[in-house]
Amino acid sequence: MSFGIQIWDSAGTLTYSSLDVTWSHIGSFTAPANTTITFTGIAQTTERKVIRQMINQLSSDDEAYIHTYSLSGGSLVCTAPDTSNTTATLFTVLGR
Amino acid sequence: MAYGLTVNNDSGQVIIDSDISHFHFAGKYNSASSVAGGTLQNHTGATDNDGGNFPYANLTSLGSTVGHIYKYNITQADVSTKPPMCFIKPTSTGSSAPFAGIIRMHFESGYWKVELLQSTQTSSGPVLYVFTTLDQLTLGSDSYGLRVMDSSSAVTFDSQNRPLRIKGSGSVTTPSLAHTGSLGSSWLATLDVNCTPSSMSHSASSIAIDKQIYYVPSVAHCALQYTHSASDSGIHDWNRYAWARSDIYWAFYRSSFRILSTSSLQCSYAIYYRGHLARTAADSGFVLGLSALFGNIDADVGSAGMVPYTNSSRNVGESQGVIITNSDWYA
Repeated sequence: MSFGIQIWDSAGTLTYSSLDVTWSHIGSFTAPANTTITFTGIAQTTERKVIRQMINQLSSDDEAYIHTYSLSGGSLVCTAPDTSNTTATLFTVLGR
Repeated sequence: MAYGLTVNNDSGQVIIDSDISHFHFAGKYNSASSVAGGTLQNHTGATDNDGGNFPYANLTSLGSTVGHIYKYNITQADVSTKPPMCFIKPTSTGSSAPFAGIIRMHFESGYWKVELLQSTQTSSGPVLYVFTTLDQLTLGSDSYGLRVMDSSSAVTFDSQNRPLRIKGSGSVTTPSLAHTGSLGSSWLATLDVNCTPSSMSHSASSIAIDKQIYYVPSVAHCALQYTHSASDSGIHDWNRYAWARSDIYWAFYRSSFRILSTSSLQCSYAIYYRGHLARTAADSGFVLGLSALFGNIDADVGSAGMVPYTNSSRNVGESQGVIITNSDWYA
């Protein structure tokens, strides 16, 4: 390793290493059900990854849509494909 | 930034940044309870038609294998606003392993209630490895390690709390249909999962296959429906007969995942709700529509969204991010 960091605890156990292909958590954002929304001020890193989780699923629809999204610069645009059948969506943005 | 710490790796990728609120280990969770996926089955109506060739076959069959749902209660300091990240340690790996995915997450009574669907039942469910931000955790008291704070003095990284070390990553897209080919024949639907799983390669192959844990929530899902109706009337053994029968089968699917090898993850479907309704009458003029089929069904079932849909799919083609780490780092 030329650059990076490794951290051990007092027992000598490696607890963190930049040798791992490590992504960091930039932020978590929850898009409300049936609503299109834009989140701003998102940290910009060389690479970013978005993972979506349906949460608080609509009780009346187990076939719900999930928000689509676009991430550009500091803005995450979360679009509800349907105004009555889109569940709340947790966006986890990772970066490195 | 004017103050703070940034650490990059050999590729110039940001590894630690004091302005970023990193995820840290919050504990392992076994399922608190489990239940078979939902089944709604109901037959009403006559089966005696004075000797006519009434089709009794499969009046109570389901024709599909329902998945099993494991339920977890996750505790956090502020459970209402900070959903945790739940990695799955599967019950087994390889080409015979069941598929599993987190299908529901909601806040209730001081917990994040998490439901995981597995394509088949196993004696103990998958284990969840839960990660969250440090504002949800108690900071360690060890005198060794590295702690990083942002400009507000909030701790954003602490090696004592075992930061999330993501070893592999990628993206996977769910197959567009859960069942390809014929859905059924006559009075029996075959709505089991019948598709080729999609696959994703990743770079975590240095982790032993039985130590890999993954985070990729279930997103894509679809429903399939099969209906069949028939009727007949005539004379049998000097008696007039008449009969009618209508059936509807359906299944709801959710995307689910398994670790195929040290370097690949597969995505397919599991059934989390299925049903079969049959209505019969000793009258060939009996007309069966959906309203007739649902007339005696518990309203609670219908209001929970479990009534059949027409064949449909949702979120098709939506790529989903996947991250993989090592369970041994969080033993």
